[in-house]
Amino acid sequence: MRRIVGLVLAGAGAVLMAHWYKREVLREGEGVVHLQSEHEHFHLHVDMPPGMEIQPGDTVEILEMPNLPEGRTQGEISFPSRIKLYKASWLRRTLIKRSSLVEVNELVEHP
Amino acid sequence: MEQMPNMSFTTKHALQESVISPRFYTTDYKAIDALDIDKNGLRDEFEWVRAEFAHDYNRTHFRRNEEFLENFDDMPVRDLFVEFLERSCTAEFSGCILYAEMTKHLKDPTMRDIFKLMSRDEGRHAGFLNRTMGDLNVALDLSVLQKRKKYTFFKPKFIFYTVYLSEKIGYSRYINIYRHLEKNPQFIIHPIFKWFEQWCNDEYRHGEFFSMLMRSQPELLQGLNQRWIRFFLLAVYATMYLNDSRRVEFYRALGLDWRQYDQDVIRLCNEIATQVYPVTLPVDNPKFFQHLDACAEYDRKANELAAKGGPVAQAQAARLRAAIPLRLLALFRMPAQPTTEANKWPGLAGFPNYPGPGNYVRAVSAD
Repeated sequence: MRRIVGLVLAGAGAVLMAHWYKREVLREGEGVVHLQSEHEHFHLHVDMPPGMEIQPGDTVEILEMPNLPEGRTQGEISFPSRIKLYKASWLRRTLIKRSSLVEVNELVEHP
Repeated sequence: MEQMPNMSFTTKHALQESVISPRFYTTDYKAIDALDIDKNGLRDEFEWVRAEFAHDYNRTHFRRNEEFLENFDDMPVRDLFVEFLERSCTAEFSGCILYAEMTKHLKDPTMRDIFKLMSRDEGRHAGFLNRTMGDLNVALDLSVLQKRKKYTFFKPKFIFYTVYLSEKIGYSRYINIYRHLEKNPQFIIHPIFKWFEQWCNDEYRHGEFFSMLMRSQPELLQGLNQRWIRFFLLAVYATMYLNDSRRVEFYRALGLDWRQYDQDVIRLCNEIATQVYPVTLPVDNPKFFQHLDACAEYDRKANELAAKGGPVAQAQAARLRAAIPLRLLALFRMPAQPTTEANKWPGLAGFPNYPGPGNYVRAVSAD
């Protein structure tokens, strides 16, 4: 009986931890996207809405993107866009900060 | 050389959508801002680097000529070449984003300017690659930039160690290809390779900045951090070796034996790294490349088995993949090569060196 209770508690704990890990708080606001996609330069920068700061584990979503023929711009274009910032839970943030070496291959890729 | 107008041309290849997946990082910007770059009297050298970047040696270099407008429908290894362009564009674009993030967050005006100017260079490289993909009728699918992007985190020192190596090995790769094609022009399958010589000078110059940044913080090069240096040297070399071992045909089309090419690149990068790292890897020990060759062989066999499918083949593939980290561990445990005055990198011939305090024109802020 004790073993069953222990297993149930461990399972419940694991489920709670998984929920905690996955939990996100959504913030949304108006940002400005700067995009240049042409021969001279290729970059994308986002000015985040005031008060929004990106931290490890967060995800950012740009909601609007103009339809560009062949994905190219003429010079840099700047346009307002709704920005969604999904704030990671404390657990996910901490794990990502402590486990970045797992993703080190991303950092060592080169041309 | 004049910039060519955007000209349309026909190709028998269907329009291909290219998806680049840039990487997004955050780091401890406050810790980087807190670095005291004055403490070892290097401020003036940082200012010189800023002046060098502001000089913009390659301002007019990335201009295409009529050679780019030829028809490349029947070029050899076209698909692998497109993949090479995509991977290069992703790396350059990711560098542009990383440096731009630094620019946004840092307060020291010298550091901010340097990152801004490096971001300019990387964005320019990415644009050149992007346009070359366009020539091959490969359009970028920008919608990928809209998708949710996860931000991962790296400690500042990990960024310094790896980005330094990434820039220097990028230089080594480009210059080795360029020199080989200079001697063997029959293997120039696309004109972009003719641009590599001056292009790679940007990479070398960026590496010089990170070298100085680490020199300004000697604790990054001492004690236990030397283990991190060896770890990242190995990570960079092994990643490249395995990646290239999967693209034998591409290098063959350039007249290169991938293995010899990678070994030359690693040797040059290892030699350059002695300019700042107190230890490097023992690449002249025959066992070094024997272990890397074994990793490449395990990887090749594992991929073959995985392609066959079936539980037995999958299990065998998993066993081979598990053997790779053991080989890497053996490599890591090999005695490091200490840097001495005798083997220290003397600098690149013909490349500007710091001329001493006040002996250069100061840069104007990039803002």
